[in-house]
Amino acid sequence: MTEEIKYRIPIERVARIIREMSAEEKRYLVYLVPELREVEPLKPAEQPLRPSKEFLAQLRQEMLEARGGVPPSDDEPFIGGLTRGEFYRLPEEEQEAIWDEVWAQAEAEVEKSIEADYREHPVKPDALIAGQKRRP
Amino acid sequence: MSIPSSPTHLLLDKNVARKSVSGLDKMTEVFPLSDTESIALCILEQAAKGKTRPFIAPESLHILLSLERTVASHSIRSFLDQVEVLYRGRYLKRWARRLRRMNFTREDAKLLSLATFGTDEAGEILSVSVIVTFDQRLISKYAHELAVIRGQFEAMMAGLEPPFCYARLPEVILPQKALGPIQ
Repeated sequence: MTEEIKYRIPIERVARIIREMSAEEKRYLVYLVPELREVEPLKPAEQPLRPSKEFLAQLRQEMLEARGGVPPSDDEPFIGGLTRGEFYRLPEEEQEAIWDEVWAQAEAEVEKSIEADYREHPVKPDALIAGQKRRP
Repeated sequence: MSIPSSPTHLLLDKNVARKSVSGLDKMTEVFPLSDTESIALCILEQAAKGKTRPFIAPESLHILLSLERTVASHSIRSFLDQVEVLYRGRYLKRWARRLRRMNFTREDAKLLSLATFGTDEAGEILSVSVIVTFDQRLISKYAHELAVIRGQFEAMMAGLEPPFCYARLPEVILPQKALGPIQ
């Protein structure tokens, strides 16, 4: 599971309460909510997926080359009116909130122009359908 | 999902796009990646190996281009170099309207409809196999209502001409689930 998954109700708190229940209370809970028997549980993540070291090294190289070989400076303007140094010294939750805000602002700004510029893109008659082989 | 012989066409939702960009930005220094950034970069790695063909929505492109002027320009450019835009094909609006009537949000309806009636720049593909998203609410709603969605989709498809009558519904899954069979 990732921190991105949000639920309408505080599932973690409900889980804590259930864990504190006696076996009898849990049996009564299942009696009250028989649907629980039919739920397929989410599989816990075994190992978080990580890109390979080679790919990360390649990305680092490409990003550095894109910057003309000059590594970023802590003083350069970055996001939300903060410099890189200021931004990356914030806790991850605050970095996340700043990205959310900046993204939402950009989204609101471009939304109208996207709708005004709506065009259908031509599709070839023999277009390949995803997941299928080309038709004869 | 079976292991494909050709690259799996993935539509990355805006949050996966965003996580890719913030992950790429961390490549310029030695900052630890969050789990979601790691997963997003795994998608790019699989694309670099030719196992996936990642697309973003036109909306995401516009947002990124707008941000590129002021924020993380190198990481945005790098990300855009590694993905393609999925353009809106015919019937996208019609299917999005029907999805809206099934109580999908406007944004979700557009994303789902784009995955079915979207095409690449050359117009050589139609539909993508998978939408990858961190939005568990969308994943659950789509899975829960898939039978109804299929019914509505088949009713609409009955009158369409080729190639649109061959369009397909996507899977809507977490990125880590999409990567499982690919890696």
